Amino acid sequence: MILFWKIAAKNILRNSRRSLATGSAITAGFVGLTLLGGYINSVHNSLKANTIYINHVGHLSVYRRDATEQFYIRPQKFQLTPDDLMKINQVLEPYRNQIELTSTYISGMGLISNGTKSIPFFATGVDPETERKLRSHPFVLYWARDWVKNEGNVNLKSEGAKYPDSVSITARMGELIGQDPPFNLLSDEKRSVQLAARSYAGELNAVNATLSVEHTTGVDLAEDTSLIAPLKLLQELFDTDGVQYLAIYMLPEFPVHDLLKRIQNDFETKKLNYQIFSFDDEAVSQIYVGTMSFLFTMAGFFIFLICGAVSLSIINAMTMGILERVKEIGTLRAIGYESSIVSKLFVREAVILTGFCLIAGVIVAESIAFVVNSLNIRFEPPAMAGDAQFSLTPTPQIYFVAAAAMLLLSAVTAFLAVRRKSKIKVIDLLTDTGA
Amino acid sequence: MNLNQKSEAQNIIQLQNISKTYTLGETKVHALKGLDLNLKKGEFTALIGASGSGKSTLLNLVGCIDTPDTGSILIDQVEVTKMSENRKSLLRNEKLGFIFQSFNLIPVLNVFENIELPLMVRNQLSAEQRKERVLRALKSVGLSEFKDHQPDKLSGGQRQRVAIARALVTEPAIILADEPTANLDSKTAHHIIDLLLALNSEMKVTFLFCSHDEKLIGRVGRVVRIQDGIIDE
Repeated sequence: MILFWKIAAKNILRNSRRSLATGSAITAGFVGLTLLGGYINSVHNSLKANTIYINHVGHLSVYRRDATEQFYIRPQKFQLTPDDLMKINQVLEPYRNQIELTSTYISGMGLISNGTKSIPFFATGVDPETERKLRSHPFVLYWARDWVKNEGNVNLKSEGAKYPDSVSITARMGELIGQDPPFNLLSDEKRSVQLAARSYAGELNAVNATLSVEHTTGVDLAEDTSLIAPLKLLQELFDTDGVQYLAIYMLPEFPVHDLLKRIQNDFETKKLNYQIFSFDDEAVSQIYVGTMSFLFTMAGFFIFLICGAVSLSIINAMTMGILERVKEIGTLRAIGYESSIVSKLFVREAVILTGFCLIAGVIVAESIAFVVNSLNIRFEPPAMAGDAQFSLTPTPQIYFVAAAAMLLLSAVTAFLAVRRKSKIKVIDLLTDTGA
Repeated sequence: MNLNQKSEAQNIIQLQNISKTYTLGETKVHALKGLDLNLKKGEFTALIGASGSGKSTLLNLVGCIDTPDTGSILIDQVEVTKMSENRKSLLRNEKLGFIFQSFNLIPVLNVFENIELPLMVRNQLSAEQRKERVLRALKSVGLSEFKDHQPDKLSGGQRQRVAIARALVTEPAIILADEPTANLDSKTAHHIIDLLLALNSEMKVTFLFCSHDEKLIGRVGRVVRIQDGIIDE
């Protein structure tokens, strides 16, 4: 068998210019696939960090059944009460080794006013200590640093000692009510605001609050209305001791969907009326799911184009090679080689050439990724607030999948190109009339 | 076993009522017309005839690289005309050796590897056994010292000797040679014929070769003359 690999390798060198051209196409295709994968990986992880940690979806989130659709219409009925939270925590107890932390959240709409201007808000009630941990989580700082410019920038906790009613708003909201950040440098009078909303019972309610810090959601649509406040403050505003949902932040080494199934099963077994969602469920993460669907559709189109171009290059090179070597194929058949063995010889050539191209491709792709990431190219992603770095982060898994795809593609393409020729009658191959 | 059966058993190649027609454009060319031919084991036979007489067609049919329109071909008592392509490949590798007019060596392989190539088909021999066979074949054609050479570094006569060694290496029952001396000068051609005759005598391999060189007639055991697709022995 070594001799066949040797023949294949030597045949690549036989027409080095053509092999170089085909090899360049394969390398370019491989680099294209890995960098596309690297870009999707960057976007995916940024979105994941934003969704899970910054927008508090968690890896998993537990709601009362149908609350994702009904909560804002009938919050009293669809909230989780302290009794519900106790039952949920009992279910979670056996899985604590997989969970980094859990936190409860509440959200709702209202008006923020500083006496001169009133604007609507969409508030999220958080535990300040948990919020600080989430905003300074290594995954967030690595993948979503553009959206947490200062480490843990919603540090309600630090302000909390002095102002228990500290709230954070976006810079754009500050602009709308006529106050520019940093808010903690403003006078107490300018920092003082009132939050007004309908309580869960339907009564009009209001609480005092202090502008403390600013944050960004990373989502353009949310930047005009996003307000983060201590959970207790919002519970007071909505006049409830309940929460909207409980988010579960998992340790990275455990599979999310596996835990989801287990907890779901436990809820069903114990006849508990709760629903659990993963961060990639459209019911709780429309932006994540929508963006990833768009990216995958776009990637599918580019992969199709790249693979098509590479296939045509291989077919072209193989067809030329076959035409030049018809008599050689005839000789091999005459001395006893079956057509399938002859086909495999050409497939070997394609595989060897692709193998060398993959090595070159890894070097080229890593170099391009390094240069692009070093240049810190900024762009404004659609629907996102502010700019983000255009980064390429191809992983070993991406290299492996792209390499496997290119090897398979080249082997199949070469086989298809040579199959018909190798089945021509031996006499026609030897006399070169069938080629 | 009666005399007739014994005689048939001695025939390593048996062709009965072989016809072959080619279509060239709109013209039909009757290359072979109901031809019968038997060759005995160890016989050294030359097929002689003018260009287009059908000798190469006959050789290709015996070599199982072409199929007749009618008739039957028995190679070592086995009917080959109805065989599948894969079985024919195996038969060619086991029983037949080919020597081509233009040598048909694989240019990217050296002399040793070219000769080793037919032994790789069935993969029955160890690397050591293959090496032994190749060196023996090289010795028999007098090219032992050229084993590492590339084909393009050899003369025409040397290349043809490599082709002969490649045909011999599987120890076939029959060696078929299509105009083996056509691309060689007369001196080298005679050396090649001498070599083939010596190998035939030493190894008792059946040789069937076609040539239009009338000067070779006197040097071979049996001459079969073909004219217009029929035998004129």
